[in-house]
Amino acid sequence: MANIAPKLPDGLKKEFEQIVAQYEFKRGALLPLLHKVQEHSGYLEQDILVGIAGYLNIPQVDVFEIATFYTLFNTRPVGNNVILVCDSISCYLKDEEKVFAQIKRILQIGSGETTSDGKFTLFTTSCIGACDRAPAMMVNDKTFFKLTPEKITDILKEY
Amino acid sequence: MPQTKILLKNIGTPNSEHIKGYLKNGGYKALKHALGELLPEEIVELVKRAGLRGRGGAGFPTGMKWQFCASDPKKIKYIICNADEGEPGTFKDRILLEQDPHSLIEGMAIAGYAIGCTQGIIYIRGEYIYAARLLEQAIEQARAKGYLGDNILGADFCFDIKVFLGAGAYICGEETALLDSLEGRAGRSRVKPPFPVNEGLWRRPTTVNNVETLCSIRHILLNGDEWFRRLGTSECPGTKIFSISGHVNKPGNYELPMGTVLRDLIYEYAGGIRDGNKFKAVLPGGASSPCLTAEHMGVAFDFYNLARAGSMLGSGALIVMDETTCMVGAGLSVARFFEHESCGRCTPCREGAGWIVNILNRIYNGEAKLAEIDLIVELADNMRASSFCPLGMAAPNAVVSFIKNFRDDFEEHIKYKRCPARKDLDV
Repeated sequence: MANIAPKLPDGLKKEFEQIVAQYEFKRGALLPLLHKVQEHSGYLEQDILVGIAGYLNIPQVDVFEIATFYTLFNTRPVGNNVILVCDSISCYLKDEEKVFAQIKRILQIGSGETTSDGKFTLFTTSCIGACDRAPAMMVNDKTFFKLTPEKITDILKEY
Repeated sequence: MPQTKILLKNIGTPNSEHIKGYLKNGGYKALKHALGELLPEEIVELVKRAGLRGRGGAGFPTGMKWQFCASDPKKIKYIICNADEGEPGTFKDRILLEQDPHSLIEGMAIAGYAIGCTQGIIYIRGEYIYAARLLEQAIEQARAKGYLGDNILGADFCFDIKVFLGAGAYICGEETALLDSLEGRAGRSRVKPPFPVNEGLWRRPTTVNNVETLCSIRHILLNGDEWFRRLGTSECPGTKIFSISGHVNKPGNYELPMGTVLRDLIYEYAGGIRDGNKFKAVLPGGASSPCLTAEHMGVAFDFYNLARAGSMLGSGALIVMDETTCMVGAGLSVARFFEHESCGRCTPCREGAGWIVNILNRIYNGEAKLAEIDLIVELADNMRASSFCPLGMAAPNAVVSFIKNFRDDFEEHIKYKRCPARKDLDV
């Protein structure tokens, strides 16, 4: 880590200041800052993590730990659209496996991978609280319900 | 019998998520009543007398929590709403957050007044980004009308709420891990004591309450403790939102008195088992709870009766499985969840959860030895006895209960390379 030059994301200086100002203890702003960076660049680059550590005056290792501990933070580049397919028990009981297999077949990628055109990155996810309308998945901020392999084809076409 | 809709009453009414709709349905009357006519300690007493227990899973008496926090001499205190709904099978807070956010805001403001704090935080899971944005708007609306901010409704009470977005970690639903997350750390449970009511966020007295719990407050204030006690059982008064999912005809949220029996939950409300199939098992309190079987149809769903039946109410999430369910596969799904969500700090949970997945995988594929079934049970005993926090203790519950009740499913996978429940399964 020591040889990574610290960097803060271009154009977010003002947002950063606004976020930190809301917290009596600066460290409390860490998750909101990481959310902001990811919203802006899609993932958290190493040099920016180092930059944020300096910005909040906390150890670099802590920032790296947090960026990797929380599932929704991406520490590697992702495609333009991130798909999260719920594989928890209620979705499993409603044939989530068939839905997931269909997505993999159409996109020709596995979990954690990005399509060669950079359009989609695919992950499985823990329960997203849509169990009454299982199986469910999220594409970016939007949740899709009662999925079937047929519906998947239509949904992916929208992106 | 219709549902007992109190918390879900506003759901589905026009503009229920907007302050206009909320005010039309009698919104913020309880806050007016609290600030105008009640002393903080009277509210704490009222909630105590009502016997409200936390709806997040642990079932701790809410009024007692408030009293501990209120009586701590430290000045700055927090009320935090735990909206990190992550227990598989649970989707009750989602509907309250998305369609009745002002109920929560009003409940938090009343709680803030009762406890003596000016700052509220809603910790909402990152996956509920839609609800989080809606909450921000609702808070803005409440501020504009003077239900949040300085000198609320002319009283000597200032209170505001901030929304804090989580980032995908089930463990943060545990209240001390949630506090760590708010402090910019990985979510890892803290040693108790000290309890959050004395040393919580930034070591200040902090009350952490679930969404459903806080949404109940205004109804108790408006209708009284005796009214609340008439609902539900004597040990667990009030209604509960049961999230029913899995192999039922009508999955959904059902608000019913505490103590409603399993048979009614499945057959009267959730429309019975799909395709006329036979019931096999239910996880009554999410993926953390041991399963119940057909012999338990008469069990009353509240914190005490489910404990007596050897399980737990948890968040009130019923995951129903019919006769076609492969219990090895279902167990594997639950085990994978806990393996992924273990925070990694303590060895029993981190390693135990991984090994259970490992062994179950091999049983599922017919590659394990019979003795390995009992190895899972042994691992589970160790996890329960020596894990640091409730996540590790609860992680093996469902799997062990599946082995205990449906051992044939596991043995046939190994002995005959087939699943007795799922004939189509290629072991």
